[in-house]
Amino acid sequence: MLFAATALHAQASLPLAAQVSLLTDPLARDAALTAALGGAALGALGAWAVLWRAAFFAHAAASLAFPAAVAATALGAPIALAGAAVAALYGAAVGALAGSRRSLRGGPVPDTATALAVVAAFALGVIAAGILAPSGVGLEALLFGSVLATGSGDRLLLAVVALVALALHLALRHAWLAIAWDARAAAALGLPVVALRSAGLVAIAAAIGAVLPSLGSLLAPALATLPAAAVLAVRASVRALAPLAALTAAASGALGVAIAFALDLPPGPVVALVAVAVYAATVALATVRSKGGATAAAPAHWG
Amino acid sequence: MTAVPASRCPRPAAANDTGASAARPPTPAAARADASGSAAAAPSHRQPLVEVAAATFGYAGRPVLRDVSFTVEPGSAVAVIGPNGSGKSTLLRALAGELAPLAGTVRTTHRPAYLPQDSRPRSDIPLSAFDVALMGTLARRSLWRPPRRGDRRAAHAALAAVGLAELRDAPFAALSGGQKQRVLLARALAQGSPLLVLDEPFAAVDAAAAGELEELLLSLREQGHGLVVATHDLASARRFDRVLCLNGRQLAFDRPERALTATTLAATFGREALVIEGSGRAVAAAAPHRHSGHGER
Repeated sequence: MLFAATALHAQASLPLAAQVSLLTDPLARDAALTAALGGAALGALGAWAVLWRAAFFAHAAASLAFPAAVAATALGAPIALAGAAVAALYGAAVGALAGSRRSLRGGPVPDTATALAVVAAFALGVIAAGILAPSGVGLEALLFGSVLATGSGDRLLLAVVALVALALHLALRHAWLAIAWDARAAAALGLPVVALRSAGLVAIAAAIGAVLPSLGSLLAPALATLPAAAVLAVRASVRALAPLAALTAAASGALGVAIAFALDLPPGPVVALVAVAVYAATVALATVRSKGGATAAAPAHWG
Repeated sequence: MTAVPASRCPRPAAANDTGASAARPPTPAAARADASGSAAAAPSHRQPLVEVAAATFGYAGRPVLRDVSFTVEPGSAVAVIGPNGSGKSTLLRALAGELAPLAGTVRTTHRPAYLPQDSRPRSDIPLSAFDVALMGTLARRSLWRPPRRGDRRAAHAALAAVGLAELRDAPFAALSGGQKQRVLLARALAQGSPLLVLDEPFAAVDAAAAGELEELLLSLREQGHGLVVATHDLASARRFDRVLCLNGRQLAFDRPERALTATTLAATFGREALVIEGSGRAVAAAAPHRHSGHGER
């Protein structure tokens, strides 16, 4: 099921029964597990996208993976591999361009170029889907995923991506943090800033591309960036940012699937809305705390 | 000491590769031993940390600073003065290994701890003073190795050396300008290099904080560090061991009383200088310098 194009159609035809318990319904349980695994994988790496002010980059990577996924679906090729490869190439290109002096001083990935990539990629993907429609391309599944149609192979892939994301985070978190905090000073420390940031961007993009068959090109970047932004909004310690973002993303995914089953709604958009709601709630909480004079939590020591 | 282009200055060996060195505070002697890997390979006490000979520096093959020759020995402090665009930051970047000389040689025994002028710490990432100081140890350990006890000790020692041990848990963003500069200096000390290269460390702080920072730097000199400090404060420069005057080329490198003469200052600052002869001293007031210092984003 992992690489089968027909799986992308399954979501629309599956009956969604209201009030089904996640604990008793295997379909709901598997869907929740898929969303949680995908959230965990994306949340850990997405924390770095947020810290590097590259949230928009994550959306662009997903957008570029979209036409690749359409083409792979039509050709019967592995969607995850195609999406990850194209997104990773985009990450490498952005990483190389980000080596400019302006970016080294901490500037974000150029927004205009990113916006162009998003628009062009989505337009290309939709046109390709229209041309290839007879071969069975489902736009809804590619945009919001197909958590109801995933199998054990998909969940295994998501688990592997989550483990790789965790390993990268653990290995490079100190250097990545130094770059996020002050790229110029990190370079003065002798860190290979461009290479390190490129590696991070490639990892983020590849993870988004890899989970695209399950979570879709709109849901994947949302789960990558919104949970981390929510955690950062309440000024949690940097040390806990990536783990908390992964947990928040996983919980948002599982909760979204549960709500979708309870209300008989499409799971993908509901998961995305849950992530948005969590972010809005944390921002509101932070605002209330700020007006109330509460001080931000003291940062825990990094390491 | 090996002659190498500035861009190839060797990165010192990780100070914490061995347990014995891991617990050392960031003193120059410890750094020398760490960087060389053995006491026998460490430079002698008076061997220059920096030797620049007939060097020309520039960008894209276009020279911006010529005829530079000077040395920095352990336990000595060199003030680099000159107007905007005179080549101060270019020289310091070259010493830090970020810029290769177009001509001549730059020799360093260690990769210096470099505090660039265009550093922009972010205030929206919640880091403590200790977190920032600990970052300095990244310069001497492998990228994927988490900080160990010795690294934390080095960061603690560095914060103590700059007088901020009690503020180790304070958010960096909440510190005053002078305190932030001290924390950044602690990060430089935590690198364990005996050579500190600081680009206008007094720029973003008030007079009182600048005075305290100056005292701190001079105390580090007494501990054996070599210092190269770009500054616009001529009164401060008088307290250094040597003054290097730049304006597109080297105009003087000598003790302050011999370098900071009316003639040299006029040649260094040109129309920006106001030179007043009196009481046997020359005082120059440079035109206001526009820069952002170590501001935050």
